[in-house]
Amino acid sequence: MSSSYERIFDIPIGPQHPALKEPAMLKLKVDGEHVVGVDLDVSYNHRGIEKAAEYRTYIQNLYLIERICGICNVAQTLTYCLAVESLHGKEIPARARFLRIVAEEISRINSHLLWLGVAAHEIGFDTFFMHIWLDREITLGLMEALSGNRITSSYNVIGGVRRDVTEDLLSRIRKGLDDLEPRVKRYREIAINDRSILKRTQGVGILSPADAAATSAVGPTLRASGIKSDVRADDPYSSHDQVPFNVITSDGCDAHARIIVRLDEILESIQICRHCISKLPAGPILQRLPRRAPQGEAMSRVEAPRGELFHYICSDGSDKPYRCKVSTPTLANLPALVRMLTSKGRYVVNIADVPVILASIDPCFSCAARVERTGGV
Amino acid sequence: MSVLRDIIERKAKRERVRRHSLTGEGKVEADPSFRGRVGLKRELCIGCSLCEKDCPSAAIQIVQDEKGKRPVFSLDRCMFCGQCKESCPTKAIYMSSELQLPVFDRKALEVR
Repeated sequence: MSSSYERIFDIPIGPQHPALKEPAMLKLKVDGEHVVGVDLDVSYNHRGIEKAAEYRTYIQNLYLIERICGICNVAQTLTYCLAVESLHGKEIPARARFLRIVAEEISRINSHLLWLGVAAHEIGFDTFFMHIWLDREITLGLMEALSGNRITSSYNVIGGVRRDVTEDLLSRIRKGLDDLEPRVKRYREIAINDRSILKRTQGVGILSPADAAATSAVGPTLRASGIKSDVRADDPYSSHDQVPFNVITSDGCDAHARIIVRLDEILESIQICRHCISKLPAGPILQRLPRRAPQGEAMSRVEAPRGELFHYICSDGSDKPYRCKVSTPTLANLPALVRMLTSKGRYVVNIADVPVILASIDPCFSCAARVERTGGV
Repeated sequence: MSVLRDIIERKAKRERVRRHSLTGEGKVEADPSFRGRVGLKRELCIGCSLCEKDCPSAAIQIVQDEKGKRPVFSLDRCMFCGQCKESCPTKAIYMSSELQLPVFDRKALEVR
């Protein structure tokens, strides 16, 4: 601005801020209450996991990779195991593939319920948040019974899964899903009808289908813009071709559509779990593989709860990977986030809408901190 | 106001977050399948030290006792992943569902 009355101001949100749960820096350019530009920096929590993976054996890496993200730990280990298995060129037993789907879908339900609670909290609707998290306990209980731990499950291992299921456990999972389904349907009803949710989310954070495709958004963020894309359907990695399911999309393109897409995905995940349990094939659950992986490169991708997760492993024939590269869904969704924050909906984005828009992509910044920023913009 | 119905329903069913305590009434019990405190069946252990090799957090040390080599687990370093149990060729390592491990002395967290 040329005059002494500067109209556009910089407002920093983060890296430590009450409205942000994770270290990220949003430098907002505001004109009054309206956001007109945004500069994003997420490299505050770089943990060097990819480098650390080069010094550990394939077996030890399983637990390091699992800790990239607590909530998507099943998806992380699944992607890693798929990459290592494709290095060996071995198929894993059918029963293990189905059990992997069960674990993956339970963790997806868990992640989406957690996100829904956080979204309700960001909207300012804390009663909703507490009710959702009370029902999330059901999935945590199922995860504990299935794998032996509530969050860090260590369920997928190289060559299969770790634990078999008993008939007793299967009926327990069935009962848990039966308890959960009416609750999720009720939350969907509330999310569609409640005025405070509608006022805070409808028309906020618009991401048009063209923008979503141009910024390579992934996961529920992309599907809420009406684009039908899901790794489970496009590139079935673990017997997903034998499981009938719908790819959920919505044409809303706003934060409200992202809530509805995730709630519908929970209902779809419940159906997938039920199908896998009823059609569970008999047989072994583990294909033992040698400790040393053959020389070569492998890539794998998985539909994690937040979107497409990608792993690349390069092996030099030893028992440690030569290079391990991870690309998480949050990193892919960040350009879309910038478009949303500068979007023009029914009205331009207000500062008060920023936490809701940020939460609507389900960010996980310490997963996304894969690169260090070295000055400049 | 739309969650009012849910609040009333939960009150009627007496559903609520349980109060947890460390001992006595309301003590938390983990699921039997929980991966808790690690233990060793000494008579089965052959001292192959595979558990030490595979442990991702270097919580296992191999020591010599009267019967030969055996692992010692440091639970303050352990992250309860259960890889030692998986790697053990003779199934000598087990994980109990013991959930709470608060102690005053670090020595008490060594499983010998």
